[in-house]
Amino acid sequence: MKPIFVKRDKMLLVGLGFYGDPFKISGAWSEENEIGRLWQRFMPFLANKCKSIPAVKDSSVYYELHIVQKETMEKGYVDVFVGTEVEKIQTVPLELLIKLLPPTEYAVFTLRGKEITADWPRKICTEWLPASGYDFSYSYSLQVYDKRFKGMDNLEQSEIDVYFPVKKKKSAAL
Amino acid sequence: MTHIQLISKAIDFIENNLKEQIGIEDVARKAGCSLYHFARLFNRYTHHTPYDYMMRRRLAESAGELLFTDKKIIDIALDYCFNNPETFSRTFKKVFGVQPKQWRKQKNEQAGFLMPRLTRDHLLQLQKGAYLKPVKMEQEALHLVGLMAPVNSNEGKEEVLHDLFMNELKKWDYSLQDARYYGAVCYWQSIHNRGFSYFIGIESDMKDFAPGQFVTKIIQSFPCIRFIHKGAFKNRRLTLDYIYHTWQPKAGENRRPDLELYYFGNSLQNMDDKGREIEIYIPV
Repeated sequence: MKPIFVKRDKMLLVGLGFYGDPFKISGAWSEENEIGRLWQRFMPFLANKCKSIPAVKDSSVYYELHIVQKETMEKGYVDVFVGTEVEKIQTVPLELLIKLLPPTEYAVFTLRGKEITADWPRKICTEWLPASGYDFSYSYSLQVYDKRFKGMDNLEQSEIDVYFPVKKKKSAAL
Repeated sequence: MTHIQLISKAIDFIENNLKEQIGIEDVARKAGCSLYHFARLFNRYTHHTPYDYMMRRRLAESAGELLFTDKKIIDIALDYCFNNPETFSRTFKKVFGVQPKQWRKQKNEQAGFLMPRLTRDHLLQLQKGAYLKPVKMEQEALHLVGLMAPVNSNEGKEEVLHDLFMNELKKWDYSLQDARYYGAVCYWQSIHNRGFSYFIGIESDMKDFAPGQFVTKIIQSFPCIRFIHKGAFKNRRLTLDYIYHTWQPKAGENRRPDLELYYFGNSLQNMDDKGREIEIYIPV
């Protein structure tokens, strides 16, 4: 897996969040688990009330944020947030939350077809990272869904980008 | 490595480390997956989250030790990685409905219902997912005639009783063309006897007469959940384990602890067939 590297300023996402084991109800890539439910709640909301969310950057680009916390390693609980990016904090509808991501460099991996549902975190963390000269700069990752994603029913024709925040290893930077 | 092998490996690791401070990340690493991917797979194949499985197994083992050893409650709690007795008691009560002290004192009759470790056979049975789909219904009252015997352990006594019943049935002038065969597991309420009685019989309209060794069993109508076990009758435990330890805690249904009803259809034949279907009615 070969990433490209991009530097992003701080990012403001508005959307909906969940904390716990998102696969408690179902492990399938479907709307039957908590991640699917988040999307199920968020997308119709965005479609109906997009105009009430000020300063949306691109209403065809969506983000799925996974934040690793202390309990993640122990219990498998993850902080999951789905949303879209906005330019600045303004009044957002009561139903939505705002998430601020720090400015950082990202390693961006493009996943195609079946790669999307494969174990890409393992490949990135155990195969790519150790040989890359990079460390993770923050304990989160972003999945980016745009027009290239055609839905789970058309996985073969779909692409998504996965962003991992990174920084050069000190020894590698010297 | 197949997914079943991978999950079996993870379960082995959990089971070997119930008394060790391990996290789900450790289990995922042992299985050779990322935590994210592992959590998905584990849930898909076991219908439990990895953490939920580990905690329920720790609680089941500790509940067994409370009943069958003299170890102090605090030692059992610490052995199974609960940081303090309070956390242990709170979690224990959430799952078993009573405090550990009370559980030990009353020698709870549900000891036979402690969650066992999941085996490869359990995982394979769970792949027949559609058959495990619960249907809420009202079971009509049944008037049955047949044989009943006590069962203390899993020695296959039920199958022996099936054979006896069929032999007896042949002696009597019963029309078996449309016979409807039922099995009933009647759990003993006595706290000292951890066993059950098993009844095998057919529906009968001979209200006041049970020939030969036969006994009459009347089951009043009851609200229940129906599951279908697909597989040999002797492997029904695989489906029952799913019902009691996976489905029931999630569904939050309170089952009546005294009865399980099986419906075998119009025959007791082919009970060892992998494709055999048996309806299981759990009173709630």
